[in-house]
Amino acid sequence: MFPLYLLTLLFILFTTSLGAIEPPGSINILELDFLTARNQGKEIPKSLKSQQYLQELINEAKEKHLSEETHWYRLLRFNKTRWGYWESEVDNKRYFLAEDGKHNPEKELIATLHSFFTEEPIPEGLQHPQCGYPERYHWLKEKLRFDPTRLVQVPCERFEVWKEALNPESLSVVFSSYYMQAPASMFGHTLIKLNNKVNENAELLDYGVNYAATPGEMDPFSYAYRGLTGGYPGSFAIFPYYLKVNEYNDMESRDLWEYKLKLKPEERERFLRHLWEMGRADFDYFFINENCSYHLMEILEVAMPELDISKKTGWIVAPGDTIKLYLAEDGLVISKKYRPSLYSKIKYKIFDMSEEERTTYFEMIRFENAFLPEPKDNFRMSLVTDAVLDTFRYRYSEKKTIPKQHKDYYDKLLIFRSKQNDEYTANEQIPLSTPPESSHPVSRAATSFGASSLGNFAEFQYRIAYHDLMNVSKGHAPNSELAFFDTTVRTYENKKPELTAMSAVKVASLNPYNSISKDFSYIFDTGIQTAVYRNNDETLRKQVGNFDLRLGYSFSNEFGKTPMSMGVLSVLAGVKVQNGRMFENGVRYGGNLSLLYQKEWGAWKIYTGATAQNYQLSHNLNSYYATFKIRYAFSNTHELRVEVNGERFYEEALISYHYLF
Amino acid sequence: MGKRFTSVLFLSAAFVAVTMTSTSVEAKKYGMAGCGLGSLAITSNDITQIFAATLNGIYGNQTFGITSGTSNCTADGVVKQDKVQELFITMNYDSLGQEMASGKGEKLESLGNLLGCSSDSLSRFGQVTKENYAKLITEDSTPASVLSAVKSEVKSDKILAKSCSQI
Repeated sequence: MFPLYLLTLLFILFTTSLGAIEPPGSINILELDFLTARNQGKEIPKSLKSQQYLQELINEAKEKHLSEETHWYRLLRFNKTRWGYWESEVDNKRYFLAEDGKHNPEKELIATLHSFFTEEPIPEGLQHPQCGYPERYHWLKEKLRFDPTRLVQVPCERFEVWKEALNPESLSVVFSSYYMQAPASMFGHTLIKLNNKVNENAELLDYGVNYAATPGEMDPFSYAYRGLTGGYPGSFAIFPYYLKVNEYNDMESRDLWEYKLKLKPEERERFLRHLWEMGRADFDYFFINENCSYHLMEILEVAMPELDISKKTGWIVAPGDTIKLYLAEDGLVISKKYRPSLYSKIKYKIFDMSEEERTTYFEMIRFENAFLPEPKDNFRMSLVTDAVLDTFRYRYSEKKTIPKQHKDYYDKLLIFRSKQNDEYTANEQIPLSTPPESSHPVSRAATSFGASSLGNFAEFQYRIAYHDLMNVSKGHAPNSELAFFDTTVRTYENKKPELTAMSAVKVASLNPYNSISKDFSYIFDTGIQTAVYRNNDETLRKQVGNFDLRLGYSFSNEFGKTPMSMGVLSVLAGVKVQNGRMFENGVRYGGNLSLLYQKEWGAWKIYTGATAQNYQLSHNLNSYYATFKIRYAFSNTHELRVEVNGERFYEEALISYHYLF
Repeated sequence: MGKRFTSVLFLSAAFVAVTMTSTSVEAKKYGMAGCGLGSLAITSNDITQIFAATLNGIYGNQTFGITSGTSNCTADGVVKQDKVQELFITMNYDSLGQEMASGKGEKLESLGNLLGCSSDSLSRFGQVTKENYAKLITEDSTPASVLSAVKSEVKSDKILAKSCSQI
């Protein structure tokens, strides 16, 4: 069983084909960079005077124990490993000037001092160490009061030009919300935006800093495996911010939340100096903890020495949780901005429309009609046309080909739009998603008591992360579930404890279908479950391996006066496979059909549904599963749930208390 | 043996099912844990398709501080001054076209900014692109041709010619 669900875990999480992104530069120059750096770390200046000064600096650095200072540890990303020794998180050798710089902060500091005396000409494309490590240089220069007559300061034109171009007055941490229609974007993402004063009214022209993995060409399985085990290099890159807005806001339709941080002038300078150093660094990318959000925290900690947040994360670094950490720091976040996605913008327009405008809009988005409306009284042609144009872009943002007929209609519509002169103001004030900081913590423990047709029982549940359908949805993707190692242990009266269920991974997205988004719904679950079966008139429970995949559609009044007020109804069909000795041939499998309904209002949520399971194909008895659950949330961290579940040969009712942390 | 066989069978079935329903995933480049891969947005528009192909060529080097760090488009991840306007149009081709047709929008304002138009002339700039939309973007436009068409409209507009400095 194990390989089966492990495989499926890897498969579902990362069914993504990735384009090859070549590591920058040619490999030879990187090799040259490495060799050069190692030589520079051993640099002995020619003149006796300089040799003497170098020795003085080294002695003073040792006396002052500079290599033990927090800032030096942070600069080099030194962290205590699980085995108790110190090690830098940086994983490429080029970053270090000393042979064992990765493990020895003092040797790296001494090598750094050596390298600053480099007199040899710098090979084409490389930089003098003073320029390659501006923050190290600046910090040591302050600490040791470098004498410019005895250690000549090298001009760093490349760095200065770069710094001038970015010139941030402040920084914003940007959170990109969840996108449940693609497995790899269910976790959210964070990046940093450099707010340049010049672009005050054109923020798209700012630059953004992104930390990401840079895999080459590969298949989804190795991608997943290597992503979990740190098999890919991750590195920092900068982009015009509009590229990221296109990617997240427009293509994936994820709302963006920007949190502006207060930054003192010297912190800004330090950030840029250190970011430049980080350009040389590669890290092993671990998607669970050493991910984008983690590295952003660390780089900000270097810039702001008082900040100490990267140690406050748990074993899992969830991007949304890091936002909470920033907000918890006194006076750090000075403002917040919401940037609606393309889909949200379409929704705003629809909410704004009159009945007649809506009817026309929905007629127009059936592009094959190629329909141009007639001008009427009280009809905002520009509003409707803009909504249709947005819808076209939204629908075709990820498709390679557009039917010619549709494209022609779109072009015609653009020209039509340019001739409309009525005005409307887009009403985009109230965010359509909830900010990440309002989300519940991701880990969950629960205890329950219940009664069943096989006697009373007590149960304990634990989930590492992230969110289930019954949790409070604010701050997470609504109508969705993403859970890892969701484990249930039960004890029935007078019986030994049993491992009732263990989902290695459970993913569900039950977003309503509509003619704009055309979202499909799915539920995927794999791991261990408990099957109830009959044997000689005796009802027995036994653990079985489980694989469950259902696809379908959900429906709701998404564009009503009170969106989703009617709840969400889902119809799904799929396959279920369970293996266990009690089944005919050791396995039962077959199609299943589910009808599910959920509705959340404030602290309350109900979820109910029935699934018919046909196992005839595998010569086993058919079954069904029905459930009714109610949740009441006292807060983001405490929930009470009551549920009644039934299946063939077995019924139970239980009450459970859930604590999120 | 039979058990293993059925497991494999179902796994493959599921594989096919999911890949069939998630072509959008297939066609995209994602990073882990939602952390982008440094992938570049490629929009559906045919024209940007062409440019997307060369995109990694012109904008494939967003790293900085490593080696020479320059491509013909960027230096240490910063877009070169002579490419800024064209790259902006290339990367925002569809949405910018739409904003030109409606004469307003954030991307259009950003373009106005890149053309050095003063902030009080931006609404005029939007008006001009809207009025001349059919001339600015046609079936066989390219980002470069759109840029020069926009510039020539700006130059021939009395007000904008004075208030936009980067034309």
